[in-house]
Amino acid sequence: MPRASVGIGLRDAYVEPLRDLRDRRALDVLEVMIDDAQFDRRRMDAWRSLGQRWPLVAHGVALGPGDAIGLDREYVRAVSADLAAVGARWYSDHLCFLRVAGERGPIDLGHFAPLALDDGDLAVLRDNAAALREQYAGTFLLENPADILGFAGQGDAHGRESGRRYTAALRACAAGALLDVTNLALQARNDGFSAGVFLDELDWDRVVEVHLAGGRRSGGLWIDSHDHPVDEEAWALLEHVARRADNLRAVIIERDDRLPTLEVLLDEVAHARRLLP
Amino acid sequence: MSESAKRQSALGRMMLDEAFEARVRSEPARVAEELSLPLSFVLELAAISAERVRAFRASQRHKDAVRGGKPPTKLRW
Repeated sequence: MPRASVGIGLRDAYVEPLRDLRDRRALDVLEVMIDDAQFDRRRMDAWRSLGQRWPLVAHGVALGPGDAIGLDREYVRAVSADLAAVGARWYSDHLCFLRVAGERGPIDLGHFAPLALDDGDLAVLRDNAAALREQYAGTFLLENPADILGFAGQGDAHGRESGRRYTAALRACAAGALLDVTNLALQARNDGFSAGVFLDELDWDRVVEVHLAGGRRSGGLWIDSHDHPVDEEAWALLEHVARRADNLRAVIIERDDRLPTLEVLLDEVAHARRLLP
Repeated sequence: MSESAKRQSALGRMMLDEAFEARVRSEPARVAEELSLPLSFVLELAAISAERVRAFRASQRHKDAVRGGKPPTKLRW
């Protein structure tokens, strides 16, 4: 089995340091936030330039694959064009809904909202995945978000059911899995289950990518704030997942706030590499 | 609107609109009737703790603040 590539989520602050980085082998891959190109087109030039040195994969936060009101077709067209233009190896977004019908039209919640993943939700996911594929024919991955609301319950039975429903959603969308082990760890803490019971229900052949980040407490709950170093529990989960996921291709360290220097993130990349088989 | 869309709309509104959240908690039967939703679903919404709703909103504000130039989310229902 080839070892998975390890890299970082590319943020604007790292563009210049990466251009100046002498040792290209300090990381294997970069993940771009594909939505961000819509707010500043200069990012496309920067990404294409860095794409000459490292392979690029793409991540998004605005698709809403579980939106029962349907996908925003204009957004899907724009993102699909950008994915092709930067030559992303694959594209991922979160298993959630984002846009709902408000009194004056669709409202973007600005945050991943949890799906019940009942038959109705699975039908929505199937339809939306088909709509996505009309524009984007490449590999699509679905990430497990951290469900802060605990909508579906507490304890190991809930954790096990969450793993089953995540797998059912992947099958409905014919998608690969982007397993965010930090989200899993935080949800397990908030909802009182063992991460292992969720993992035992996974379709391991589908796991293509892993995300790692650092969360923090807000009140009595953990949120996936991406503003701290990766913690020990997430590192241990990476080690566990890497042993079981034969199709794992990439491990990405994410940071969105309280950004450290590139060197600090590259230390985390090196640590992740040491944990892979 | 489909049943799934109605449920998502109600959950989304509860996250954005504190007055609506209060009504879900205090008069779930009336909310269910107004929105043509099963009472059992509205009771599930009412069972989400206030602490978890606050954490959702805090996380929402945090994500709005850090995402690459995206305009702040429209939060008015």
